[in-house]
Amino acid sequence: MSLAAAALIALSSACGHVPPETVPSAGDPPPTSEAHRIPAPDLTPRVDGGYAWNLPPGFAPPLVPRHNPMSEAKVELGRRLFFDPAVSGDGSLSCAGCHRPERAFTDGHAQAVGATGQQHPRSSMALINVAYSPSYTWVGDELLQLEDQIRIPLFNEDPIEMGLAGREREMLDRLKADPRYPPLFRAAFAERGARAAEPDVDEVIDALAAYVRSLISAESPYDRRVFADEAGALSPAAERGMELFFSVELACGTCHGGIAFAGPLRSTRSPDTEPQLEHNGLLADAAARFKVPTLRNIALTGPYMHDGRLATLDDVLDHYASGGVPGEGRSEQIRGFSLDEGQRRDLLAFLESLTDDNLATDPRFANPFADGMIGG
Amino acid sequence: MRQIMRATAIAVGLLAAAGAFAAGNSKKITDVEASPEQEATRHFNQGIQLRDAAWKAEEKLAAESDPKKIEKLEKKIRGFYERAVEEQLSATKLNRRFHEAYSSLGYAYRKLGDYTAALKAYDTALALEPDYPEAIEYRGQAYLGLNRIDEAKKAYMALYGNDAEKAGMLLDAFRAWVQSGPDVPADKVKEVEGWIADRAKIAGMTGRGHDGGNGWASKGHEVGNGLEGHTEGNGLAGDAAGSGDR
Repeated sequence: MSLAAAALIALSSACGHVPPETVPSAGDPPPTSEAHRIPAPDLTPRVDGGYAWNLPPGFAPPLVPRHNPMSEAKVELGRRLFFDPAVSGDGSLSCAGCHRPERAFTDGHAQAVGATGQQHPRSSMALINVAYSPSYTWVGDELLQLEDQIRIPLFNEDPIEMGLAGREREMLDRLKADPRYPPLFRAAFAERGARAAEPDVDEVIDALAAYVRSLISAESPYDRRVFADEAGALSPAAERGMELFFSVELACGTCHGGIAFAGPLRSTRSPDTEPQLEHNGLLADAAARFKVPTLRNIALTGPYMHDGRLATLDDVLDHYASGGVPGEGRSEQIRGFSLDEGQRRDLLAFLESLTDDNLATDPRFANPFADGMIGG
Repeated sequence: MRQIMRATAIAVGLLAAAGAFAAGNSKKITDVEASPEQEATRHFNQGIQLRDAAWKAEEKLAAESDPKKIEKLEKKIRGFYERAVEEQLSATKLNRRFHEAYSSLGYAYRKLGDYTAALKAYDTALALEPDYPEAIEYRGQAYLGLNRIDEAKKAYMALYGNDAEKAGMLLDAFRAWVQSGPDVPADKVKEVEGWIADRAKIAGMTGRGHDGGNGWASKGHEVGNGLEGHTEGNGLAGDAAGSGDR
């Protein structure tokens, strides 16, 4: 098509007016003169000390607390602490004991088990993309920062999780005695100068939070289909399942929405998002409202629901198809539906297409210790 | 924020100069030196005002039927865009990090039919600011004008994740391209029609809806309407970043 023909392309506009693409010309545009040469840009890098998020398409930079800015050094320190049992009270359980990368940072158990063997009443939550959560834990709509949430498993005494309460000094001494840590603390908290070689609990928490905040990934077949325009990325069954998932009848995407397939997100684009809990019809108690968990990697994170009471995704579909326990407080989206066998297979195929196969092998997320030590 | 500061700096400078002049100070307003960045902003704003003037004239042109008046208006519009090119060139010479000015330069070149220069200007804007939605969208439209469909599709995909509104505008441009009867094989046009339908379906389903969406926004979900720091009010004349295409 010539440039003159290109001029015929009509473009839409906000006001409805459709002007020509180009202004009619007496002839071809004149060659660019020296005076009209487009100036070369100044591409020297800006020195802003920024952290490279490497965000997937559609993901905005997460919000980061002012007191705990991201840095490569801090994330690296946090990664080591996350996989190190030395961080627990008795040195037996690491964070990764309940949040394993190959299970999308859950543990495969219905309910988590703490360092001393006590069973937690709830299931380990997935950690991928939690940087975008407006609140943390299954029922916590007041824990608004990862730094605050991390204190719960570290210091909780009923049940005991990491068992750190009263044993902080032991933990810090273990870290100090490990020659790998002092240089990592110094690099991560360089602003503290010489004092940074003496780690404290707040720094351990800040480094863990930085690592967990860095766990952002979306490399599933769904992402390839929707964000990379890869037509064959989803199987025909998953493609049909996607239509069911987002349909008005099933309305799964109404609660499990947005880029994280979870509840409302908070980021630099939407910094004021309020936490939201939903009643999923699982319990009769009207107050039994929980955070909407992510469906990304859902095939890896069973057993399901807040207490792991549903073993398989099939069981979960049965629950939502039934509409759950009726009563006051139940989310209006939980109203039941019917699926034939083919539709059920399609919907499951779609849910499985949300699995990010990169999680288990991504070196950014992996256990840094050569001996692979993970407690628990 | 950077742009707001630039514009504010100019305003503050001019106010100070006016105050000094009114007080009988021997210094004249013209003696107050603007920084190269402030001067660049001034040229940029003038370019945007010329573009806006061109848009107004285009609206008149669309309603005009008298051939003589049409010819006159076309000449006037062309003049506006030519002057806009001059202003944006001046802006980019003074501030070679001014991605908005490079993008607006590309727009003016494109409206004058110089797609080669337009693409070069968009490329430069995006080299400076790879996620700048306006330049991605404008470049996508330039690719369409040149029948470089695969590149236009990539522009759409780059917008899809980050700026639903501009992605929708570019998808509309694809529809207009199909309707214009482009000089490409019929099977290519058909393939693009299928692609448009597919992308519109996905956008509608996933809440990035150019054609509706499913109500996620009302539930407080992030739907990707604009990049932080780019589409907010920038203090520059004409709100170039949020102007959209015409």
